[in-house]
Amino acid sequence: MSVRQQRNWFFFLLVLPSLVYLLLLIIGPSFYAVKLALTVPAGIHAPHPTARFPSLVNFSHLFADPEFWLAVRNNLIIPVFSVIVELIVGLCLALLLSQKIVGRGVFRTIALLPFVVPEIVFLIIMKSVFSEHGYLNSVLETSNLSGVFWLEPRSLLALGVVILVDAWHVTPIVFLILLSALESIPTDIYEAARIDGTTGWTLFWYIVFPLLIPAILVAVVLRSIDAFRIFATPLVLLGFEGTPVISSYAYHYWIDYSNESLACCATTVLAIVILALSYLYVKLWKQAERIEG
Amino acid sequence: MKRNVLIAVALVLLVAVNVAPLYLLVKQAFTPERESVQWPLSFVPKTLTLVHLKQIVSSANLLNGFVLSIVAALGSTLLSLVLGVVGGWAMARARALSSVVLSVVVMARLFPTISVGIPVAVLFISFGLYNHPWAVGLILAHATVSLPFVLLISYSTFIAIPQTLEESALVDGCSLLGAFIRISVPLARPGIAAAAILAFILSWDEFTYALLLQITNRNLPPLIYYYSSYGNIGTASALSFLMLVPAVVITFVIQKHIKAGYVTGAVKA
Repeated sequence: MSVRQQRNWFFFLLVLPSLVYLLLLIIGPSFYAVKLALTVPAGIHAPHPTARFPSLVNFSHLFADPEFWLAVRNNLIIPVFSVIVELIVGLCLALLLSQKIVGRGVFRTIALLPFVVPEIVFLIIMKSVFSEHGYLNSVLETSNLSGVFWLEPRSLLALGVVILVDAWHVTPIVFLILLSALESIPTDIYEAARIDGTTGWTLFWYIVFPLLIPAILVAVVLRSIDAFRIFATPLVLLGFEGTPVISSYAYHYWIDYSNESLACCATTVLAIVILALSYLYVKLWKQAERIEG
Repeated sequence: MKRNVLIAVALVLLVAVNVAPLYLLVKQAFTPERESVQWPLSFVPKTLTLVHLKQIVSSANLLNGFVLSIVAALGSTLLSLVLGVVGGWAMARARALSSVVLSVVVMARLFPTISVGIPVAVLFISFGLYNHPWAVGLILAHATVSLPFVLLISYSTFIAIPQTLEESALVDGCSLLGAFIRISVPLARPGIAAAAILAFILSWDEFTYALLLQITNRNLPPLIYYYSSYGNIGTASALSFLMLVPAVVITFVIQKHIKAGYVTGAVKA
């Protein structure tokens, strides 16, 4: 073995523990979940005294459950609109805070604030803001308007609140990505546009926005993969029943019914959707690179 | 002129939306419970009190939650640093490895927490790590969250340190590992510190694994969830305040060291 090969083996051994760790505690359990999803546990009431494997019975139970399809519907609506809200607000913030305004540093810090707040902390505040006897309704009623049942279970309004609250927490990420893209646009482009008499909306729409598109795509890819995992926001604001999403559906079946098989069916569906989405992104990305290069 | 008004309105809106919720949290934590439920709710505190903080200090259950949060954060930080700093260095010095490791890291990051968390909980039940009084299971789970970031940060830190420094140490008779410990690690201290702080915060803020794995020996996030669900707004707010302070302080201390890249990856699990 040459010295070089020896060195490479040495480095491989050093990185091996990290690899094994991630494989054992992330990839391994994900496959174990598939096994659990395909296993019908032995039960007193079940016709079979022993566990059966492999079986698709759990999946047929899952797909026959209207609750699951409601969770799927919510799990599509919430991420899509949340990412749209994040992009619009994040872009507005980035445009606003790239202006020369007094105290810009302070305002930038304030814009990043939601990201610093732990998830559970901002969720319980949002619960006391939007609940029936919460701060928002208190403001409405003291100004002689009638209060609104914001978190009415299964209502579209509650879905909207979940979307806004979810977007609030992660908009700073989109803001950061778009701000750094805005600041990397060379100033001579603005000067050239000014000399040609381009200002305001035209300047933004025909010059700045096209230059931001790559950063916007990065933000969409990063955020949408995360947005599909939505779990805590609907759970804390409305409980399992109020606005089921796939994650909270699975959690509910596991913690309240001790039905790990059905829970694992649901999480496996979610994992497959997210992996497929990421695969699609990678494909599109490579295609885009080919076209550009 | 019209433009300035528009900017001012937008800034006021930004401050209101981002600061008001935190203000309300602090208000609820330091006013008696009745002020958080009395209709109509007041935005101005009438009486200030430390009763909720006193309750936390005098309750074994709540204090234990605080301790468990710290134990989980320190334990998972230490574990992911031990694995990740050495791993990141190896990736930086053997580039052929880095692409393999990076793809595993990206793969690991893609799986939703709930998809991993439920089978992990099922496995931990049979290993006796579920609901562990010293949160050993939670430490192991949180280390899977922070390890990818520690690997990436260490990798980019060690790549920036010239390999020639290690090579000259080798010429002087140092072993490869000795060169790493005596030359590269001291030079990489700022990067390692940033990785450690990020790992700590990731564990401190993490909710899903904590909810899944600590069913009665709860650390702060599930405790806050339960206290809020059962309507103890004052206690939940005071606990949240205790959780918020280190998170805010640490993040702003290291703000300039965190590049957008780290932050974008550090999205909730």
